[in-house]
Amino acid sequence: MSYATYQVIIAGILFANFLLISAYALWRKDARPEILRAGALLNLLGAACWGFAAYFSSEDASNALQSIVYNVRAIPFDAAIAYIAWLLARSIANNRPRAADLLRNAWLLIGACWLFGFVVGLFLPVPALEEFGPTPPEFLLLKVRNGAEWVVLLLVLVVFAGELLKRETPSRTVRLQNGAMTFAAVCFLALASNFIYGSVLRVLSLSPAEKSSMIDLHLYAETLLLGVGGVAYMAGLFLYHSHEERERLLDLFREWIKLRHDIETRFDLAYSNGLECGDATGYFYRACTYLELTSEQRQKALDLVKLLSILRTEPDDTLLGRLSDVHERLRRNSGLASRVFVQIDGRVLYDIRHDPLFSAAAPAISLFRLRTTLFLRRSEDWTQLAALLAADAGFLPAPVAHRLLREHPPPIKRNVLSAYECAKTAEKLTR
Amino acid sequence: MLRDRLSALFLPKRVPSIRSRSAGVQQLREAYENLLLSRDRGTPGLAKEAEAAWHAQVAAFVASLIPYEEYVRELALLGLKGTPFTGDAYSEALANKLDLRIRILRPTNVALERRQLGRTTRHPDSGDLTVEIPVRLGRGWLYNYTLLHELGHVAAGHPPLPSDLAEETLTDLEPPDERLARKAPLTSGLPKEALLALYEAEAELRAQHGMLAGSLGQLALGTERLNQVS
Repeated sequence: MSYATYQVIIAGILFANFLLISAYALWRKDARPEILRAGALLNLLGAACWGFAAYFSSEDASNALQSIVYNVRAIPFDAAIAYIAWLLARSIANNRPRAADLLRNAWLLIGACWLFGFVVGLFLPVPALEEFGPTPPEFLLLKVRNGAEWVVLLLVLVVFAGELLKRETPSRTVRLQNGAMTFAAVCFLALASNFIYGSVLRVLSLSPAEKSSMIDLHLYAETLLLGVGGVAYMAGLFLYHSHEERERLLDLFREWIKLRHDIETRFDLAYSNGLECGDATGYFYRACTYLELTSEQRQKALDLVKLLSILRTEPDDTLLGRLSDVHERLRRNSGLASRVFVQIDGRVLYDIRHDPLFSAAAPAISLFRLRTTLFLRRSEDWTQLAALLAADAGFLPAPVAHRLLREHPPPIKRNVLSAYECAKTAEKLTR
Repeated sequence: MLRDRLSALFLPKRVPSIRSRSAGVQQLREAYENLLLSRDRGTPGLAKEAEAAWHAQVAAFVASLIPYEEYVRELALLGLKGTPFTGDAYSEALANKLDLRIRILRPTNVALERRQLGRTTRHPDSGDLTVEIPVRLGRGWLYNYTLLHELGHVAAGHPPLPSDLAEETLTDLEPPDERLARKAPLTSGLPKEALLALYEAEAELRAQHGMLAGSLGQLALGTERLNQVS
């Protein structure tokens, strides 16, 4: 089989994949359209690039043309790696922002290295398409992109392995999925290493016998790693399609809606006319201004005070505990938590973790059951201000309020205490 | 007490199953009669049990009326399937689809029943709908939920409530012609209070479906997967 025929076959397989995925996407319009669209596009791109390579590659092609074709053929693989990195970045955006930033920008590194190789190929052309033929060392410059791919795949591996080793994995399905993805990432990283090894092999001047055995090893490793890694990756994707997991999360979200509705209805009953703490309303807002709290922090503090006032009238904190638990479980699933559309006071949030009510739920429980003031010492200004106001308004159990206001050294930061006192005095003077 | 705890641990909770609409109505009627009977007897334990059975029956019936997949089908008719939406967007889409005029009023004070957060009335001549939601609910989460609840009544085609429930009966009122639901709502076969409880439960379930679909958009669709990498 000639080299051109081999490339035509690859292009044909990729094009058939494109047709199959497109047909499936048209048949099942709701079935993961984004991933399907991306998969179809990558296959189409692959078919175009490999078709281009088949058309232009021939035995007597010039070195310059061979370098161009060699680089163009790598585009779909690099695009696939960049897309996987982007997908992963999106799913870990809130848990690991630094790794997410690196992965999101992986395409820049891969793209820059590819461009570098392409330009080098134009100025220092090599017979790149002659598989394992003698190649000058400039060939390694063409393959700089393999280094970039290796770095990105290492990062992907670190992220998946980190997720796998986490203790608080939500379910067995996700654990298995992480296991499969980690294994696939190991294979792909080894594959990238094998590519680098193959490139070095082409440049080294070895005896034909030595070279032949090393090439055999290289090709054997390549086939094995590609096959095993591909199967593991497909297994990961298949687990990803777990109905059980989806239903579990949808049920959890439904429970979140019910619990939130319960809490909000109680808010409404208790606070038909806004925050009713007598004079406290005025100096609360004034203290917020002194402490330069953002509107989001102000809302969180307000919700915390409201929750504490509900706990005062209904000392059973089971509802709040359940709400906090459900919220925590939702928060752990960043795929869901970062894609929730919630409207709060006319503003639209796209992340459940920015919901002020839920930021306030955990501190409310801690404050209500306050056994130690350590939690308060480490907390942010808005939590401390809300705790002070609640203690002053009589929303906290007496022993808790006593510890809060009288303990030495005080658990409340000095700047919060002074802002609160100043606001109180200023409010009295203006009346 | 130990027996109760053991049975709670080992026996699965009985969830009423609805085989058909007429069988469901029959089961509802029986559960409601049981509830009235136990209330008359004045035994608190029995009344509590009968009330729980009634609520379970209502929940099962309502879930059979509007399962989540059916709600998504309705959203497709409104052009909202697979997209995040608010109560206001749902209202606009519903008004367009049913060729109605829906006004949302935010009065400072509105006379509401206990535990009621909003009210929908229909103009006797023009048929225009007015949804009243007190201004104190702001424009946040609870406002959205309440609006979706009120519009749930409209989508289900529930008969507009009379101003004085004590004097009028539901049988005097015809359900409106325009509705989004495939089937007409139940207007007979049950006492008035039971029907009202059923309507409220259906609107509540519709609001929950709406909050789920509106908050998650494409994620809440049947075949969309919610997992780590998404």
